[in-house]
Amino acid sequence: MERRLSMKCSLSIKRGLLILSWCLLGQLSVPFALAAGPDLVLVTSKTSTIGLLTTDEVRKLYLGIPMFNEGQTIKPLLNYSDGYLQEVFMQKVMFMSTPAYQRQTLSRVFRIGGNRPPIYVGLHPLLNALKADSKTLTYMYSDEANAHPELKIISTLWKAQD
Amino acid sequence: MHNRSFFSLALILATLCCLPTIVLAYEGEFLLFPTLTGLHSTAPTMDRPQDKVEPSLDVFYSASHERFRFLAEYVTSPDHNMMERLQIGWLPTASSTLWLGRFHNPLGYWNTEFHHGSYLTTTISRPSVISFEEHGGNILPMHLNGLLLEGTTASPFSYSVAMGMGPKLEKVGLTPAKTLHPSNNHNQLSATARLVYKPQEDKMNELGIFAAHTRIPTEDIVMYMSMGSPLLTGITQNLVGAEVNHEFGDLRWIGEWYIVNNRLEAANTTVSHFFTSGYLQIDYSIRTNWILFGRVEDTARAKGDPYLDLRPEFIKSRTLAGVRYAVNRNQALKFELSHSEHQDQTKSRQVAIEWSAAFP
Repeated sequence: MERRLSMKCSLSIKRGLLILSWCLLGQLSVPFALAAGPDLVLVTSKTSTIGLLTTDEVRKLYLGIPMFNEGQTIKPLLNYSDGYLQEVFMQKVMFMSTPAYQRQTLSRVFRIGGNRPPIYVGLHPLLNALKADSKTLTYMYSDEANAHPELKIISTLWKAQD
Repeated sequence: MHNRSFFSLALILATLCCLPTIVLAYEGEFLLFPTLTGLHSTAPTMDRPQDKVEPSLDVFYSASHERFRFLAEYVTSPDHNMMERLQIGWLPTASSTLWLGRFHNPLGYWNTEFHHGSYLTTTISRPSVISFEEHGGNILPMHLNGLLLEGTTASPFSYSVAMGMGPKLEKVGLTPAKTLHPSNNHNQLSATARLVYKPQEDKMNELGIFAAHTRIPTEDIVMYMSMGSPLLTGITQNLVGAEVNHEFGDLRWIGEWYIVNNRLEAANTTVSHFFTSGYLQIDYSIRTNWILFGRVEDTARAKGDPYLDLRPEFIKSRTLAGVRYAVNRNQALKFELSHSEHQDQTKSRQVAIEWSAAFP
């Protein structure tokens, strides 16, 4: 009788642990399994002549590998206006964490010069920078990009349903 | 001699003339790499006392404007102050840069990747085969003054070709050409070529080969021979080498191997000898902020090498291990234990601890 009780007890403990693990995994997986939302797009100003860029080219550009458009350097800008957006960009386009990205770009600049992409924490300064220089580009949510007629979508970097 | 002075002066003038153009467009990076190193050694040398606390500051500035680049690195410490790099570059294509100025000789992986920023390296010490000129026991030219062309080809290969004034050998050791005092230079031409296979341009893995030819003038240096000690008139150094940097998972391997031939010339005699030297370093990330590392360095045919005998402090073999802890985004603490054997047969153990950072 006692043995059966202890078996029942151990089964319920196991079940409890399983449920707990499932809940914890569910909690943990939230930041990694990026929730469905608007797509991530690459944008520039309406007046820009920057053509279609592949995700591979965008990755190289943000790592500091120079790229030219009509003889002028394309300047990538980092959009830090939304922490989640930044995380999506790092995970889905750069395939690395933000600290790893920072180390790699610092190392590259120290090695061969050039500049790291400037960081914009606010959306308005970022939009102003895009408008001021037609050789700049950045990434943002598609609904945000569509809400600003002065912007042009170059390509979709990541689809939310992917 | 006049030609060399003129060349150095032209280099500085060209840099200064182009600087305002670049600065006007202002896209610059100003970086500070402060380092504080504490050392305890069981066998002190002239260059390194038993206990030493050495602060240093690496000031780096880089600017770019369209197809132009400017880069300057100045290192200051109680022992030496030096303009380590002063380069002006032009990008003929998106994947190539032509540099004019003082730059790091593109010898192998370490010297081209890490430069003087200790924060970026896992270990505290550099491998001895590529130690800097300002440190005792340096044997290869780490800096050149002249032209450097580097870039990538359409295939997954990148290249570097450098030509410039190399070092001269004085009693204190190899002395690179002085960028800021061009009239004092008596250095001669040096050339280096490096070819690297990099399967993915945006990844760090690479495999490379390199070769260099350096003519090293000497100043009041005598060669140690059984038949006397003739005064050296010059040294011709030729080397070939291979390098690897490979990362998989939490492991990173860095290795370099050098075959170095030196022809020492005196008035009535010439001696030629070669040695090989290399190292293998393994970094293992145990957690996000912690890296364990170990390195083995060794030199073959060092005994009786007439060139290495001129550099008794050269570390011909070393085993080291340590740990690097990233305190935060831009600061690191390192601890390193090493056991070394020098060219003069002295053996030493060393404990080193270092704080390093990169600002901003």
